[in-house]
Amino acid sequence: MSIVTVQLGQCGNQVGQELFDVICKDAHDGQKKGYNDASTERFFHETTTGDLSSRAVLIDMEPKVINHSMSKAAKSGRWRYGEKSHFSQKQGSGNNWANGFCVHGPRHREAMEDLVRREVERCDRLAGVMTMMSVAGGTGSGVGTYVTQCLREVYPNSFILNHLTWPYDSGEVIVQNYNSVLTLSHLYGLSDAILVHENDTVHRICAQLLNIKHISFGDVNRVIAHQLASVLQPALTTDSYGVYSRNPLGELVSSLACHPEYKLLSVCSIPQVASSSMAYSVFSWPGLLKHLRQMLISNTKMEEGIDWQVRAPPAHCGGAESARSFRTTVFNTSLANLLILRGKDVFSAEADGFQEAALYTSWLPSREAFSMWKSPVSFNQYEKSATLVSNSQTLLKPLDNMVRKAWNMFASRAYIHQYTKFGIAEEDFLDSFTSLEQVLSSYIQLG
Amino acid sequence: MTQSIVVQVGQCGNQVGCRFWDLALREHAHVNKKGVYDEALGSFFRNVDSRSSGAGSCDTMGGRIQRLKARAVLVDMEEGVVNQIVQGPLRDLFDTTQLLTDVSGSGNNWAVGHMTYGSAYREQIVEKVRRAAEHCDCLQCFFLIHSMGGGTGSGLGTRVLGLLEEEFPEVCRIVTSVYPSEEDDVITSPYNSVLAMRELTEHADCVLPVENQSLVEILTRVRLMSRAPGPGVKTDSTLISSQGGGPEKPFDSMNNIIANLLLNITSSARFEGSLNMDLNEISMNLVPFPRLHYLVPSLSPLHSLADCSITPKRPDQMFSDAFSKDHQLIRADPKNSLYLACALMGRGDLLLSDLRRNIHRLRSSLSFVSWNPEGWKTSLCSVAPVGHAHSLLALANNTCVKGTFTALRDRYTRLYRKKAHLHHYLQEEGMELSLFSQAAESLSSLIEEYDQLDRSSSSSSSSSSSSPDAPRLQIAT
Amino acid sequence: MHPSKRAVKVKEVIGVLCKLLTATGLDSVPTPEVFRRAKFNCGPEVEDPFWRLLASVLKTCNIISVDASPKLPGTSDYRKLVAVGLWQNGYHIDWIKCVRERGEECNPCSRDLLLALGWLLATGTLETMLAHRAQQLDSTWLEPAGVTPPTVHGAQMDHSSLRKLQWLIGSLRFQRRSLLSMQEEWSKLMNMVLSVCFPSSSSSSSTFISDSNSALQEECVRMQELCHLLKSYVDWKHTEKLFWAWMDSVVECHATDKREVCLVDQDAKVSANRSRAVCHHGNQRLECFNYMLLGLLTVQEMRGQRREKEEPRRRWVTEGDDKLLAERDSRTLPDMLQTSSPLSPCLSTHISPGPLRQAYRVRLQGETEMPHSCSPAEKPSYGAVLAGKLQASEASRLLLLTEASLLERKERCQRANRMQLQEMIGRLEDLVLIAP
Repeated sequence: MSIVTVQLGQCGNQVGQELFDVICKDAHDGQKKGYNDASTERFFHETTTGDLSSRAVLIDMEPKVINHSMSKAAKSGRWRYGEKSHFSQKQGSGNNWANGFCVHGPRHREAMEDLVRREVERCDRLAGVMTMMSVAGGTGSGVGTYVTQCLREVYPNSFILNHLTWPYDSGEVIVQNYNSVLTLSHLYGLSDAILVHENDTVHRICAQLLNIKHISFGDVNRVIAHQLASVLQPALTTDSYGVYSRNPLGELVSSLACHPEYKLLSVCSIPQVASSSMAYSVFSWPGLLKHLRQMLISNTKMEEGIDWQVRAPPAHCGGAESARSFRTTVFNTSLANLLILRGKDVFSAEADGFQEAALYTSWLPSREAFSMWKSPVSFNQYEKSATLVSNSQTLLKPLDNMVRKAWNMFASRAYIHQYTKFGIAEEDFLDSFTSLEQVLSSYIQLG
Repeated sequence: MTQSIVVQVGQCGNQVGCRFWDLALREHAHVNKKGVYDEALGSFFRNVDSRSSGAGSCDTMGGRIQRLKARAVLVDMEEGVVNQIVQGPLRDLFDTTQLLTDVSGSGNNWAVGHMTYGSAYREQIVEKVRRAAEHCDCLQCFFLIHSMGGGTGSGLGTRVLGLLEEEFPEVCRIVTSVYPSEEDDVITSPYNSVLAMRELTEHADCVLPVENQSLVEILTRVRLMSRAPGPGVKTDSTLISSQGGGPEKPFDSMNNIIANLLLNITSSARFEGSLNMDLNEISMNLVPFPRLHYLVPSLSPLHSLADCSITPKRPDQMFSDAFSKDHQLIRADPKNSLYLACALMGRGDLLLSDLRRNIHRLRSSLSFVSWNPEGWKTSLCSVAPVGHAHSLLALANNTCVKGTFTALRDRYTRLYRKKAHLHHYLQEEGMELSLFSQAAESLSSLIEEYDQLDRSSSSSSSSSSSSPDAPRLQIAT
Repeated sequence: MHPSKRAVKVKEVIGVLCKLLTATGLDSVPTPEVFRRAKFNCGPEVEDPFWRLLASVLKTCNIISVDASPKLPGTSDYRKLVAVGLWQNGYHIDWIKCVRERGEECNPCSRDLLLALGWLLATGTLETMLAHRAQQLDSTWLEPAGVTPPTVHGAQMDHSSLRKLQWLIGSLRFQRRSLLSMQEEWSKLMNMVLSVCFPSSSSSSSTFISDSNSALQEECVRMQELCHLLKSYVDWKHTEKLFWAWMDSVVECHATDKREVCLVDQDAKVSANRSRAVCHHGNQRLECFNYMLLGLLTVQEMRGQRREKEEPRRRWVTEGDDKLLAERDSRTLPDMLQTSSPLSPCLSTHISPGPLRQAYRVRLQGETEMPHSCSPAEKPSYGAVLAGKLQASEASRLLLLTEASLLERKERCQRANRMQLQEMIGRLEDLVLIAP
């Protein structure tokens, strides 16, 4: 089964290119035929000339980034983008979600849908569609939301996963919080699950774990691509009996995001070390899993500065009580977790620590809430690696910040005229705020 | 790739424009070694087939450069400056169809420029702009350059602004306005400026105010430094040098600074970078309320602008400079005023981490409006200005701009109280006394809007260190 | 249309029904000729097949139990069983009571049995049988969750269980999607297998068949049977109007006979048939009409209750029907409005044959038509019409009108149906698999 990827905007097109790069490199280094084939079927098709062409559609409202990504892919020598599977215009959306959603999206609907349809028709069986975009700008967020809406209409029975890059707390786009609020609130009704990477977190990983001195967007994008690939590469599920799962998006979504009010997924991976020190590092499964578990419950997003004091609560106290003080509690309650282990001796790894009922919300038993995939093939040069995809309170704080800042701005009606110009009214903002407050409230009640 | 058209009006506008075209050509020549007409060039230049004098264009990308034509419309009501341009070294850049001149000038009278010439040349101006627009594949922006003091720049310039809005409502209008010094030799300049201000407030998307006085001070400082011992003159710097543009004229150094401002602001739209900033993102990010669209520019480095190559600035110093009083292109101190929003546009070898580190470092020393505490917009363009490793342009939507406006209003009031020279204005057809009061009112209310922001911020900062959040929506559970 | 031509047509239509009944797995389906003769009460050799058929239908629908049924149709036990089944199914007619109480003494004629069959078919047993059969044939069929959801009282449903329930529903939704896509792939592959196997089964592909596992072959056969079943049902849906028109003529025959009986018995005033009826002297048509109305009143009530119970079980059939009907409607809408759906609101513009026709036709056609054309909101008005009283003279006038328009429409309907049928068959030929 194959995944069709739709890359939108500057961020989506850059991260997407890195993602395919990692996947292609990993599959070929793996030297395991089954794994290799499954991965290739998932993300590439063979052209008549025998080259690997990614099952991706590139969309942007300006041509620079797409051209760059396409030529970078071609230069890799391993794979490339389809020659005709990109769509670009001359003028960007100017950081304005309304411009992307209300103007550019509808104007180019047919062309964009055609591109996606062509990729879908190339698949023997469609596992689903993954869109990649940032929430800060105008094209990724606005056109991306519009495209997701169209895809939902055209493929009502397909899985749709949105991969979102959340902007830095500050510094990229001033209206990023407005754009994020509008994007998230709309996607919440359309998407099956929303996988989030925060630039701030990834930036810290680059600085502290990978020891990169001068961090560029390329570094950040490569870390995101690494984590994302570790989720999407073939793995064995509990009931796949030794055959690589053929329904990656379906399995992912059904193990993590069955509840319509809880769709936000975060990812963390360990180990992540600078390639220079990789040779000197030795990892054991119990050690990795112990760290990963503590990262989960203490809400630490990387393997450094883990707070070892945090313990799972002995028994579940009332949700209302913990709800009130969610900003002060440190324990991170999960709704569902998916643990993906890759590498040597993977079948000896025990993940009992993740199955404790205390980790999860009271209404979902841990056997429903926890799932595990394994793959004996080591991933992206790490002999052993573990990735945790988590539907938990982790994103509560950044989301709360985002909504708070946007709301403060909205309270003084700053920048609203830029949106009404393209047809997004104050009421639309209010609707979006309301639906995100609902999401926040749902996540608060998990604890 | 998008294109932009420069509309330069009046003596000052045309002089600044001339410097802009000179420097832009040199910048592209430096990057584009192969002589191929590419998209970067296409944003401000047309490529015209040299054999078929001007009419036949060969704007296809990737072809050889034949003869470049500026995407510009030159308007002046006297012939002097424009004639110098078309006889000077840049003469090949312009066709006569791009020029519009008269002989008699506007007599430093806004009403003559705006009303009399505005009505007389309306059709011709629209026709010329439309012709330039037709050569564009995707017209994104008009850059209007004019001065506020004289008659043609302020009067006809703002009339052109209105026409652009009327004819091309979708296209962004960025205005570079040169404000007169306090001791301006034009006695009616306060009238002209205030009357023009109203037009700018109502019809521009963004205004980049530049004060003559500030440019003079910058140059004085630069000259002082250039006398300091140092290793010779950098020959290929585009920053202040007028080399290649003919003999240096009195205002050239000052105009070069403004031209560099325009080069930097358009750099991210012209060249590649890891963090692009389109021209339409400027107003989207920096203009929270439609009338408050005055963006205070500051450039760094300015010192090496003087061709005395002092040791190149470290990135961090550059960032500090961009917020210092001495680097602002108007006489104001943004650090002691309130920021509504701020854009940092880096060029050259700057990295994302440089941006982030410096924002983090400087944040605490700057005060931002409560609802936009992280009002930063950043961009990185990989191509540095010629002769430099990196440069930085900051655009601040800051209440400090109101200082310039208040000073202007005071001078206007002094003049208006005596009713001095009013009759020169009122004798022009279409000019009425009420226009004066309306313009003054518009300016006062603009100042008041900035005042209000200042007051609300000082009241909130005195009550608590961090401003309180707006009460959130409550979800019934 | 010429009478003989019509007779041929009727036979064809009954043939379609027989084919469908056979496809649903009934073992004793009479020939069309037997049907035709049954209309005219042609004695026991026609009655027996119908007893058998009725029993078979009732068994398939689990209305009577399989073990309890005696083998021979002639015995009174056998007949009693069938009668009980019919009674349970809401067919409350006098002879049934009679058979149940007095056994052999009572001997309903073949026309009675034919009418009973008509009743069964009209009340949805046909679709039930279809569903049963499709379920047997389709290995991917999922039992539509036989468990009745636990009755939830507001107080019991706390926050947590609600959330958990929502999660489970979401999980099911995703499972459904995965299955759907699996099935799509499966049917794609199946299609490929079929196209490889069958066009040239004589040559090399025959070895392929024998090599491939037998389960796959069985699956193929079953799939083909399923297709056949669905195709017969589609055929039936397109011709059933004719069948019901013919059934109407059976009813008419029946009513005429009854009237004769009624006239003979008039003086004695003891007739089981008329225990609930009122005889209208001198106005025979009206009397027949009244007789039917009385029967229908109870029938309607019964059916209303039954439908509520049956709805979930039968939904898939009606959904399928809707699609077919929608297709058909889109093509000949004006025609359809006039000829079919007696319940269509559009008909209210026609004087008042409306109510009469409703009452008249609904007895045989109502069940099959109603799910599509009658929204819940319309149901009450239905009863109201029936409960309302009609002046005798008015009623007879309307009846005449109705008869005339019915005949006219019948013909138009036949014409239209034939056209549609041909078109539909033309399209069906390319169809290999029908994804549920």
